[in-house]
Amino acid sequence: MTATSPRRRALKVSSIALGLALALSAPAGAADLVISNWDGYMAPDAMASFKTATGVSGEVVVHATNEEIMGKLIAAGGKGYDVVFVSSPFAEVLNKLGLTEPIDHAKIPNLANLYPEATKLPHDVGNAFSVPYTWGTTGLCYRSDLVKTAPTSWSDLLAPSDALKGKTTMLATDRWLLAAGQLDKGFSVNETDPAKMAEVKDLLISAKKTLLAYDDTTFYSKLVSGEALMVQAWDGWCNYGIAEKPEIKYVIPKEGSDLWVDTMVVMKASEHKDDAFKFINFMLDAKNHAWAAQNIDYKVPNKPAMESLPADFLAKFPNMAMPVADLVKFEQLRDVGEAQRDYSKIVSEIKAAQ
Amino acid sequence: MVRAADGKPIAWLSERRTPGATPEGRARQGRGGYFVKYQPSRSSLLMAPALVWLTALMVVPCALVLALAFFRRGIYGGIDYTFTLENFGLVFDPLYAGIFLNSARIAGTATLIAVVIGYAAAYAIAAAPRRWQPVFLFFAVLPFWSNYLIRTYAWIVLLNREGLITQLLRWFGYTGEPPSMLYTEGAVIAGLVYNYLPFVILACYAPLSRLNPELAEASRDLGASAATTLRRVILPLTVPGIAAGAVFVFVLSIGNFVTPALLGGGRFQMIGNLVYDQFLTANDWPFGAALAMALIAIMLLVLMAQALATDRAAGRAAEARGQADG
Amino acid sequence: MAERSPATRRTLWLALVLVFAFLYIPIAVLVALSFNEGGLAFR
Repeated sequence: MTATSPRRRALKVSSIALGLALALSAPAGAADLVISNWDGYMAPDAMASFKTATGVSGEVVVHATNEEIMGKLIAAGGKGYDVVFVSSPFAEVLNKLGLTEPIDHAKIPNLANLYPEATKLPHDVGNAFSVPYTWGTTGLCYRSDLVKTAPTSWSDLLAPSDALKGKTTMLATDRWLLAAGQLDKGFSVNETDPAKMAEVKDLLISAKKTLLAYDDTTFYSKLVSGEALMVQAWDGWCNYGIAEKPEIKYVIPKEGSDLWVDTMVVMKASEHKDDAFKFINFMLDAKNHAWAAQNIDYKVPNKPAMESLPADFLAKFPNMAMPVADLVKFEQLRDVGEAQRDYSKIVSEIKAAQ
Repeated sequence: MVRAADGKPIAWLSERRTPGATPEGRARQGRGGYFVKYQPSRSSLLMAPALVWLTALMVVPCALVLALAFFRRGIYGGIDYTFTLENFGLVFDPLYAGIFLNSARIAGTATLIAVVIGYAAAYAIAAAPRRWQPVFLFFAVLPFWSNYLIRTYAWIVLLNREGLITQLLRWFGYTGEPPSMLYTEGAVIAGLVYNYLPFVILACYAPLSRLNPELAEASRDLGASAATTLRRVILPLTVPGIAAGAVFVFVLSIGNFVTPALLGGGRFQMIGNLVYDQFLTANDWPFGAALAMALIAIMLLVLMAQALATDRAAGRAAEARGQADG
Repeated sequence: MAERSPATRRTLWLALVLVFAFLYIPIAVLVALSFNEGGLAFR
């Protein structure tokens, strides 16, 4: 495998200083197709090959987090962008705000490459406004050589054995941080009932006392160095750790996981909608989509692309071979509307707890 | 004689009178007025670029942020333009007020440590041979020329469980559990002290180097111990430097969000992180704006306290001069 | 400044050495690491 470019779902570390400045700036140039994506989340030469294939030129701007691009899109009514990569709950919000263009299936023949399950995702049945790009699970990533008994439950992370105390990390992004508690308690990952969320909060505050850190970006290198022994991780990011140290393993706890889906949406304000659909069609091409799977180590919802992955790659990263039927059993994170504000406050309370 | 366009002589170019030569000059001298005639039109012309700059890049954005604080968050982020005061009320919610207090405590601790170390360093530099002083000062500021993030990462390398300090301990034969140093409040404070120490050294060096050594000598001759001399003579006369340095560290620390994120591992929520989260995670810009305004208010209070301390110290210094003259 | 006893002078030099060590050890560590291929740990 070639060098991976880690995906920056919430790159708090290096983007932190730039974040505020970027949040208020608009993308440069308006002539061509403007794509906003996470850094390193597609082939570096994707735009060049897209131009060779279609004659359309475009530029990629990067966002560090969903929230960052959402801030820009909402502030500017979606102007200045043509295709945006966001996680599914955020695609839902964009759609509710009327900022998304309905997907014209006739212009994207490669939609036929999608697994049937990927066209029936609850957040957008029938791909009316979004097209899935990657999908996967959130689970536990651990050092099998240093953890005596393999973890099987979220409780192994939230109430760790003495040997693991101070050697675990959790994701800092609010929805996934809360999901660990919600799943452990057997609640929905979209639970908003105040009493139930109070339980989740108490659980996560007690878990905080045994935590090394909240970490969205470097948890896999902490595993590699041995600084942490078990971390809450997105499957693809755990793969980055596995690539460096085969003793690292990934497990989905018995209580389950969320099903996260990163999607492509076309902005209603786009002035290049046909080209935008061409771009999505290009990304769904089996070969291009397979590149994504093999280089960013995330599962893609593209049947011919997944079937083209070499056996040794799947052997090295077992979670890449997860059957689609198992994957879609999990509940998607959904937009929770007004309750998002309560989520934010609960997360603040957890992070401020001593 | 130099003349301005309107034909009038430009006083401060043509009449370089020695201040103190006339009674009014003597009166002016104490307030640092060297320019003989104050000409409002000309000086405001020179001020104009700075004023335009400040207005466009400081006052206007701050006013916009302030205005933002009076609106509601839209359901999906963004701003719902209905007037409300609830964002300011929320600042006093025990949760957020607690985060303010906690930030002030962390910033205060960092300030105290930085001032003690920085003052000692500045004193030592001021006591070094004259020709070495600029060299020491230069090297005290040099680390500052590297990037803040990189300087902070250096501490991650040093403090993490598999980091250099642990490896050093092992090299000396330590076999136990490595100490947990990173992602603690101590690590956050160390990072803040490290990053802002040069400010304190510079700020304290200025009054220390100007201090008339005869004052300390007189104090010793009159029987005061070294400690009493420091406490009763040197410290009071260098309060402006200490106050300037302390305010720098405190103000920069209380709003800091990089260091708590990197060295605190997200386990310590400071007010800067909270503002960052409101703008970039919760997408609640109005509440973020209210928090930012509360933070600015705290900083203004601290700056006023500094101005007061400096003023009183200046009074003491003038008194000391007066007694020396008499 | 005023005449100082040797003990005072030694203390002042020690203070300088300690402060400069505090300021420069982290930077020295980073410079040393920049010659290192293997990431964060010295190997």
